[in-house]
Amino acid sequence: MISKLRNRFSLPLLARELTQQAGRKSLYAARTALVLGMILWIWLAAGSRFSQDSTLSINNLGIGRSLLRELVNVLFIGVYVLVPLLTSGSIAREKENDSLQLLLLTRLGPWAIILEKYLSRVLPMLLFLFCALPVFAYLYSLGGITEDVVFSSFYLLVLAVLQLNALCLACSAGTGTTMSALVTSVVIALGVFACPVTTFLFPPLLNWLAFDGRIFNYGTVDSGWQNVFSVLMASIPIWISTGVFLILARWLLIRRSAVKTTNLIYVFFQKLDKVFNEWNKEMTGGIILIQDRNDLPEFEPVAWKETRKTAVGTARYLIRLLVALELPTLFFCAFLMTEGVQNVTIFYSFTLLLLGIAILILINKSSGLITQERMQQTLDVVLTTPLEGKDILLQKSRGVRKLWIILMIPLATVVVSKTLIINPEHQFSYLFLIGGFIAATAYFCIWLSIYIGLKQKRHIYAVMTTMGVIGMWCVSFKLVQLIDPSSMSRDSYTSFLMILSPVEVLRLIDQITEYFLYDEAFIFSTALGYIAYTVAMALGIRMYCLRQADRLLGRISDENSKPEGVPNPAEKSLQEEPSPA
Amino acid sequence: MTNIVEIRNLKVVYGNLTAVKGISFTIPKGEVFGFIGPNGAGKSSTIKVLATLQRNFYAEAVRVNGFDVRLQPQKVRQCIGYMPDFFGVYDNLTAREYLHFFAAAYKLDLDKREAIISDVLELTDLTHKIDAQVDSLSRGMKQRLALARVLLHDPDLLLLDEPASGLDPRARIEIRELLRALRDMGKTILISSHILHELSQLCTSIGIIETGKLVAQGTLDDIYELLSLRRIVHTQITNLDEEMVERIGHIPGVDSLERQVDRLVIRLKEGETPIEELHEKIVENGARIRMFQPEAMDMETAFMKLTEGKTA
Repeated sequence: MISKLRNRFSLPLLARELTQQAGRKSLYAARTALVLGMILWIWLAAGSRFSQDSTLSINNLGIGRSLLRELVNVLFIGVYVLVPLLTSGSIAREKENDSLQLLLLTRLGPWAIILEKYLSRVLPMLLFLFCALPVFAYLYSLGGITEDVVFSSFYLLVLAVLQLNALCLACSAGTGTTMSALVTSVVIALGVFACPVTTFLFPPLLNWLAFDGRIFNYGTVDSGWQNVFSVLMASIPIWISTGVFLILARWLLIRRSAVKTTNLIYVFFQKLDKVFNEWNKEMTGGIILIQDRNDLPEFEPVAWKETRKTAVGTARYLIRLLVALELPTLFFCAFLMTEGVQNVTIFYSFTLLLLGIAILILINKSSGLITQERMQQTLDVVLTTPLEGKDILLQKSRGVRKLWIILMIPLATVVVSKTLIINPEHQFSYLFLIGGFIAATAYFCIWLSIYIGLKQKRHIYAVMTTMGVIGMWCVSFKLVQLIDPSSMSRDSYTSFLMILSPVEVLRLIDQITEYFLYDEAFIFSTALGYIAYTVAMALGIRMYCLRQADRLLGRISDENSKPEGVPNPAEKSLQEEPSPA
Repeated sequence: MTNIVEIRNLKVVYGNLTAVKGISFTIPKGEVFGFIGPNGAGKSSTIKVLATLQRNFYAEAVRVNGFDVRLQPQKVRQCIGYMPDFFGVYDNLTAREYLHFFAAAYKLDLDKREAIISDVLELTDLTHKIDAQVDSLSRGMKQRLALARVLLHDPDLLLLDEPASGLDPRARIEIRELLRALRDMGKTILISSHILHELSQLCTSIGIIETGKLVAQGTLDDIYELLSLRRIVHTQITNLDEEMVERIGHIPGVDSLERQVDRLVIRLKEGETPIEELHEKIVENGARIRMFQPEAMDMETAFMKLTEGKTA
C-alpha cells in the first residue's frame, strides 16, 4: 500500500533534475559565491555606515531600513539575472539532446513534466533566498524596519522567483534551443515589465511601493499589517500571470516538442531581405548595387565561411543590419537635435542603450565562434587540417570585425549628433574620448568573449560567463566604494579606481559636456587611462589566445617540439599513472 | 616494409581515468588495420592521438609516416585524413563548397582543385549531388562526402572512426565497397568499427582492444590460431558409414566429428591441417564427396572470447 502510494506520488523528473544539479560543481561554487558575496556586502555596507564612535551604538539605530532596501534590490537583481540563465535550458536542453520526446512517451503527463521541471528550478532559487533570511534578521536588529516590511519584501522576492521561472519555462517549452529560450525570455520579460499597461506585474515595483507604504493609499499607513494586506491584494495579478505562464508552458510543451532549431537572426534577416527587395522593386525597379559574390574559398577558407556563409557575415546582411539600426538612430538623433542642448542627458542614456545592445550582439557572435563549431562537431575535422591554430582564430574573427565596424556606425551617429549640440569648447575632447572609449570597450569585449568561448564547451555557458565577467567589471567601482568610501574624492587615487569600471568612465566622459563636477584634466586623464588599460588588456588576451591557439582549441601544437632529452610536459604529469576509475 | 603507424606504449589519461593503458602496434604501408573493441575501450582515444587531437598522452613513440605526433603535428596533419565518428557538417554549404573549403584548408593548388574534387566525388559516387546542400544529404551520402573530404589531399593514412555506424544496410555496403576500392589503391587505413563481419572482409590485420589494453593483434588467421579456435567443415559423403567416420577421425588435425542428419561436421585444429589437404585425405580414404563446405571463421566468436565487455 505504502509502496503503491509512493509510486503514485513519486516525482522522478524532479529527483533526476535535482540529482543532476547536485552533481554540478559549478552550481555549488556559484551558490557559495553568491552567499559569500551577500555576507561580504552586508559586512562592508553596514561597516561603512556605522557611526565612527562605536561606543555610541544608539547612533547606529535605524540604518537597517536603508540597508534592507539595498539588499532586497540586490536580491531582485540576482533573481532577474539568475533565473533566466538557470531555467531557459530546462526544456529546451531536452530538445537539444533529443530526449523530450522520450520523456513524453513515459507515463509522466505533460502537467507532471511541467510542474516537476518548474519545481526543479524554483527550489534552488528559493534555497538561495532562504540563505538571505539570517541577513534580514541581522538588519532587523539594526532597527528602522517593521515586520511587515520584512515579510512583504521576502514575499515579493519569492513571487518574483515563481513568476519569472514560469515565464522562462514557457519560453523554454516554446523554443528549440537554450540560447533562443534565453533570448525570448529576456525579450518577453522586458516587454511585459517595461510596458506601462502591464508594469504592475513587476514584483520589484510593488516592493518599492510597499516599502514606503504607498500601495493603494499613497500615504503612510497606520498599521503595518494593513500594508501586508495591501501587498497581498496587489500581488494577485502576479499570481495570475504565473498561472498563465505555466498554462502556456503546458500548451507549448506538446505543440512545440518537435520544433526545428531555427536561427532567429537568419530568419529576421530573411524577412528583412524580403521587405528591402520589395521596396527596391517599387522604388528603383530592382537595381542591385552590391551583388553578393558566389565565389569559392581560395586561400582563407575559415574567413571565407565567416564572411560569406554566416547570417551576420555577408555584406548584404550587414548592410541591412546597418540600415535597420542606423535609420531609427538617425531619426531619433535628428529629433533630439532639433530640441537643442536640453537633450544632452537623453543622448547619454541612448548611447548607453545602443552600446549595451552592440556589446550583447558582439558577445553572442564572438563567444560562439568556437563553441558553435564544438556544438556542431565540426571543429575536430578543421583541427586535423594543416591550418595553424592562430590562423583559424584570426580568420574566425574576420566576421566579428566586420560586425564590430557596422555596430559602431549607429553609435558614431549618436556621438556625433551629441557633439554638435554641446559647447564647442568641449567638442573635440568629448568626441575623442567617447570614440576611444566605445571602440576600446567593444574591442576588449570581443577578445574576452573569444577567449571565454575557447574555454567553454557550450555557447550559452560562454555567453553567461562573459556577461558575468563584464557585469562584475561594470560594478567594480561600486564594490570598491563599499570597501573604501574615501574613493568618492577627486584625487588621482579615485581616478585610478574609476578606470576600473566602464560605466563610471562613460558617466565621467559625459560630464565633460554638462555638469563640470570634475575638471577636464581629471576626466581626460581618467578616460585616457581607461582606454589605455582596456586596449592593453584586449591586446594581451588577443596575444595569449593566438599564442596558445592550438592548446585552447584542443590539439597538439607545434610548440611541443622540443630538443632531444628534454622531458615532455605531459610526460611529467603522467609519470605517476593514476589508477583507473 | 615501411611502417606508416608506429605506436609504442601509449597511455591516454582523462583526469582520473586511464583510457588507454600502454598499447603498442604498428601498421605497415598499404595495410587495412581494423580496430575492434567495446564502447569505451579506448579506440577513439587512440585514433585521436594519431589525429593530433589528443594533448594528454604519454608514449615512448607515436609516429605517423615517420613523423612524431607530438613533435611534428603539422607534418602529421599533412599525411592523415581523419573521419570522426559523428557527422560534422556546416549549414548553408553545398557539397562543392564543403569540399572547396577543405581543399583550401589543405592548401591544394588552385588550378588542380576542381579536378581533384571532381575525382573524389566520382570515386564516392556523389557527382550528381555536387550542388546539393550538405545538410540535405542522407546519412550515407554524408559519410561518403566525409570520405571524399578525407581523400582530397591524397593522405598516406586514413583514420576512420566507425565510418559505418548508424548507416542502413545499403549505405553500409556502399561504404564497404568504397573502402575496398581505397585498399586496392594502396591506401593505409586504420578503421574502428563494431561491425565485425565487415571488418573481417576488409582488414588485413586487426587489433582487439579492451579496457585500454590491446588483447590481441595480428592477421585474422593469427588471432584464430591464438585462440585455438576450431575450423569447421561441413561435408556430405555418399558412402558414409561407421568405418568411414572412424577413418576420417584418424586424419591428422581432425579434432572431432559430429554426424548430423544430412552431413558430417568436421572440427579441425587450427594450423595443423589446411582445408585443401583435408579434402585430399578424405578422398584418399575412399569417400565420395557430394558437398565440402568450410564454415567461414567467426570473428564474433573471437571477439567474445577475447573480451569481457568491460570498459576502462
